[in-house]
Amino acid sequence: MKKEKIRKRKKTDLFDVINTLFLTILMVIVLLPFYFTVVRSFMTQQDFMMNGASLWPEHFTLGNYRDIFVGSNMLRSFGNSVLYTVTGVAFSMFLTTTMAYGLSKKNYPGRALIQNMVIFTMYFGGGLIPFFLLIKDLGMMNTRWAVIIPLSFNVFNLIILRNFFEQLPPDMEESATLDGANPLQVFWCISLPLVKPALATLVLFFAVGRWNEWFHSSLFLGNAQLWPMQLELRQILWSSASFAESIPAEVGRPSFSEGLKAAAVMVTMLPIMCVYPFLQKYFVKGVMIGAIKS
Amino acid sequence: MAKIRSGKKTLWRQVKKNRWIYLFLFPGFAFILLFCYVPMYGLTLAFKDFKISAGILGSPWASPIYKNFVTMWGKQDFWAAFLNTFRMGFWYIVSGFPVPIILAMLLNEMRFGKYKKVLQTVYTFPNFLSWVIVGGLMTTLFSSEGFINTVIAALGGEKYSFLTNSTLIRPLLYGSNVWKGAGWSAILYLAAISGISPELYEAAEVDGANRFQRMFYITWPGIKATAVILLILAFGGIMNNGFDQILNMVNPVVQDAAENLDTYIYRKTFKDKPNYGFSTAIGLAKSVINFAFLLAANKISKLFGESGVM
Repeated sequence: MKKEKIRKRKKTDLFDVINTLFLTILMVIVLLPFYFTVVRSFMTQQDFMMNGASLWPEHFTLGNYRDIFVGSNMLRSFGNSVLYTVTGVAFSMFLTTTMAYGLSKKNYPGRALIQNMVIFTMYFGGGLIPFFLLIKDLGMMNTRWAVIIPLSFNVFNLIILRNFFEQLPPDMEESATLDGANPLQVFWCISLPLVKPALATLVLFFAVGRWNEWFHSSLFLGNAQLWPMQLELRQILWSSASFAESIPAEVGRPSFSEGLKAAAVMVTMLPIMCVYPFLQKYFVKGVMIGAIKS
Repeated sequence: MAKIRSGKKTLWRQVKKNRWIYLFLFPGFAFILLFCYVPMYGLTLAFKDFKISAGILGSPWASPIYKNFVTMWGKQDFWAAFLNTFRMGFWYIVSGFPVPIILAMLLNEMRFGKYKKVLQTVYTFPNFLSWVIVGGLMTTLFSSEGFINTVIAALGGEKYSFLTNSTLIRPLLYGSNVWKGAGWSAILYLAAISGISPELYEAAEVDGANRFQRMFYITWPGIKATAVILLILAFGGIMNNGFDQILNMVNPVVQDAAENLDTYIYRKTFKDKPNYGFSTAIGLAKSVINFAFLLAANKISKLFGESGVM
């Protein structure tokens, strides 16, 4: 607070001007790809052929977006992504909260063993092929379960939450137990509400992970009806086996593939763009919590 | 005998007393056993001739038992991917490490609070996008009709194929990795900076230190410990960089230039004719080396962590 006051009294100096300018240039660099993707998504093929990446579409069109919604399965995949994110996060939170709570307790046989077994998975794993074969053997191939169940655990998040539980004062739980609450009630009514901020952070991070997941979906879901949005987008971007430039840009194609791709990127990005500015501070809080605790 | 029995008894009593704790641990523990430890058992495939019909258990042992590793050893493209993993990992770290620090230090000097928030929101946003999306975004910059080439053409230069050039694709990966992640990583350093006492800055100001001096003598020492630990941990994970990014940004034409062990295993298994035993052998080799790196990094960072506290 004091620092702020002193600085406010000081005049803006050359350093501030240069610093602000530099940081603004960096912001422009971050924004450039977004900007040209937006512009391209509103372009017609003729514009694109004539001007390439212009600063503004000469003939503004919504055609690319129309083609995306008519010609691809973006809407269906959006529904799938919502489903996977909601159920997946719920399952992740169930596993993480229960186990973190159990590990926060002390003095019971097997605690060290279980905790070490959990931490060991951070350092060593079976790798891609055994994991893939396991999913296959479990009969999860080509089912929604393959996307919802297997990737539900994150040791980092578990440890963060365990630390939170460990710091709760024990007397609240004790008095609740004396009042006749059973362990489940204590967990649900006393302990969980006390770590709400941490829970909110974990939900956010799990949700982002789920929303952006495409790799395991591409391995396990052959049936395009089950695809999440990211995989649908990937299909659109890579449908011609290679990047956009390998597609011959002939005039008179039924649809403008570059514009279509740009529009697809925009549509996929839109949900995150809508929520991110409001959630940013919680993400930041979350990383601060994680940094301090670990 | 009596002692052991009573020991067993107290153990059993303790287990019984804490039985509800095991209830809490059960779902997570079962999950980890199934999805982390069963695949570790699956690593035995590295020593087998995998037959799809027989499964992991029923497949016969390879003869000799290390056959898959001999195959691996003799493959030139394996060694290329192996060396490339470390080469690319190294450059991922070198390019990705300093930018967040500089960014955090400059943001800390930023005096217009509201504008600083705007900047931070923009910088951190790309981190929350998938590589699928970022791959699409980068194409609009670097493809032959992209922004960069339009500028080059406008300046009278020759158009350049960035995404299909095997020497340019790697720097492009490093650059877009920084573009995506630096803003978010800076938050960690800003957290460390917020722990520095404002009085230090005030005292320095009274003593006539200029902005650069304050950055170098107050801010930097305040975040140095964080930086060292993050650097060590980054080297611990040197083998795990870029998989997702490479799959979404690298054109098959230049695939070899940006192949690491992860993408190599993926392509060998899911794109070419699969030989699961061979792929698992490579996976096992990678896991073991990676394990050593992570352990070493962990040990070293603990050493530094202690000296940092002192």
